[in-house]
Amino acid sequence: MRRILSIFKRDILSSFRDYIILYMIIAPILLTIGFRFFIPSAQSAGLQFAVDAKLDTEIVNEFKKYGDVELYGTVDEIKTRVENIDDIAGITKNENGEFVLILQGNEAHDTKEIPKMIIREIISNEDLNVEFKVNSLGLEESPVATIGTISLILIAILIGGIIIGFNIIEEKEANTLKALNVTPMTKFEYIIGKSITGLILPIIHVFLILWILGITEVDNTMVLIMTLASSLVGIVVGFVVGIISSNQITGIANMKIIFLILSLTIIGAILLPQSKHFLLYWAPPYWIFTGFKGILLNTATWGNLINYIGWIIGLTFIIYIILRGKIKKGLA
Amino acid sequence: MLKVKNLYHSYTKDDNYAVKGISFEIKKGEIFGFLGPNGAGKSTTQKILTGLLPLQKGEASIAGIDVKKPTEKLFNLIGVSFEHPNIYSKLTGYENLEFYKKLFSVPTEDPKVLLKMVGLEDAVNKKAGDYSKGMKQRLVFARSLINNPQLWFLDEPISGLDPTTASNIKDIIKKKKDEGTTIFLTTHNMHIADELCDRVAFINEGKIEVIDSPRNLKLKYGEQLVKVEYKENNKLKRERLSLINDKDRDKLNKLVNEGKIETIHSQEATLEEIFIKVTGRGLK
Repeated sequence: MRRILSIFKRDILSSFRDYIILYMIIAPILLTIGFRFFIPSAQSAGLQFAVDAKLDTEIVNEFKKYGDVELYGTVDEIKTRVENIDDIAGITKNENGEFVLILQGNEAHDTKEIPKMIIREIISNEDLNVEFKVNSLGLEESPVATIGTISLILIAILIGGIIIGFNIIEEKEANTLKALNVTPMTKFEYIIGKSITGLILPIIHVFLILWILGITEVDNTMVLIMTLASSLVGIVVGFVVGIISSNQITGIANMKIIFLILSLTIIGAILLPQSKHFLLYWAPPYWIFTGFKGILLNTATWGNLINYIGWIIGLTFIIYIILRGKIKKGLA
Repeated sequence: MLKVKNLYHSYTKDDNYAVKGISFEIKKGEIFGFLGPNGAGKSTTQKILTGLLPLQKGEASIAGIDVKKPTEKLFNLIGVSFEHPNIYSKLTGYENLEFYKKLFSVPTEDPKVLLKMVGLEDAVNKKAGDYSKGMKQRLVFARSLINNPQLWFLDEPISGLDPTTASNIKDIIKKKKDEGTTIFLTTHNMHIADELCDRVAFINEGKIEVIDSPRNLKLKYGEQLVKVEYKENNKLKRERLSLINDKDRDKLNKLVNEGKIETIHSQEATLEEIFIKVTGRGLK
């Protein structure tokens, strides 16, 4: 175990001192932040209200029926909150006791209109005829948001593997594998030690992506298990890139080719009609895409998830068996 | 400590052997020099013995452990200093040794002590990628000592080092020998082999041509000559005189008795000359 952890620690230390690898580590986060500006807040469909804490409890409870309520002590605090990048409506009262709705101006339609309807209901004390689904997180209405989020997750998963690949390239370039091969370290320990990076980084990335995009209403256990299973694909891809590439430049070229092949699977999953999806069953990324889509839209059951994970692990195992000889030879 | 019997190796897995049936033994605490030109089979033999190449044919054992089936115990026993520095350039010298240290399951040396021993105490926290070639070489040398090896493989340990550093490295090798470490020294530098080795093997075209101590080889293959410079009729004269030939011995005695000799040097053959004599080719 000590040897496995040493290999993992060395890889992390070395990765943070290599600008190309460091950029790869932060790339999914930067892409997510960029993406965040182009999509409506994933949480906007779940509606958020920044409510003046001085308002009556009954009013606050009324807003709680339709979304998440955050309480603020002053109008300035409400304004500051509204100015943040996500969609949130501020609610307070002026000196005359009239309701004041504080908006930034670029909010989604529901964020602007629903608070008005709630206020009208409170004032008129009439039943409110608002139909609103909280569990959709806005993703159903925005395929761009769904596909974008899953694509970011896939990138994060593959980046974890690619970092393994680049660390192997570093070992090959410096001929350090030779030095490791005259120590008691076994190939198994080496592979496991390298693989930890490909497991841990995607977990951190995926949860950060969901957090940055404000996607909180998902089953975190499902996300974790799906990420771990999907990481196996990234790890195998990483070892293959590491073994077939003689230096960082060829590594980047091979990474692009592999990303292109994987992207084609995702494009197929988006463009092909459901009846033709069987053509993509051979590709593990298809199952990753399908699995995360189900999780993000809250439509996946544990049964579905086990099915997707079974496909991912099974296919990855077959790919590993096919490439096992090449991987072992490449690490000799 | 090391037994090799009828060892063969073919990179093409046919009868085109790079190593052709070599056999030798090294006793505990001995420095054994493996001398030969490039492509003679030195590196192939060392790679087989350190587990970097599979043992295809023949037998080899280190402290009784079969090299064909290398175990954790075997790798804990050996240390390998490579000719070409293979280090993690983004880690410091200290981090390189600290990482390597954790791969062994035997008591290990303190990295800082080793770095000080090879004169890298001021570069402990410097990235190894910023080291000079000689410093990298010393780092690899220090790394090979981290597990206190019982059998220490050294491949051209002073190649590219300045004379002072090379002298320091040779002193460390001698000290380790005195402490009981067995040393397998691969080199084509006959001076270091002559200075350090208890026995040397000449390997040429995959075969061991001869194994003996440098002294015995010199006695066996060298000529017993002395080179003298003396004055005669106010003129400086130089002559090579045999210690076996009666006429030359008489002349030498006469020169000594007359007190004419200004300089005198024994003229035993160098290992390189003996190598050429035995194999018909040079060491380069």
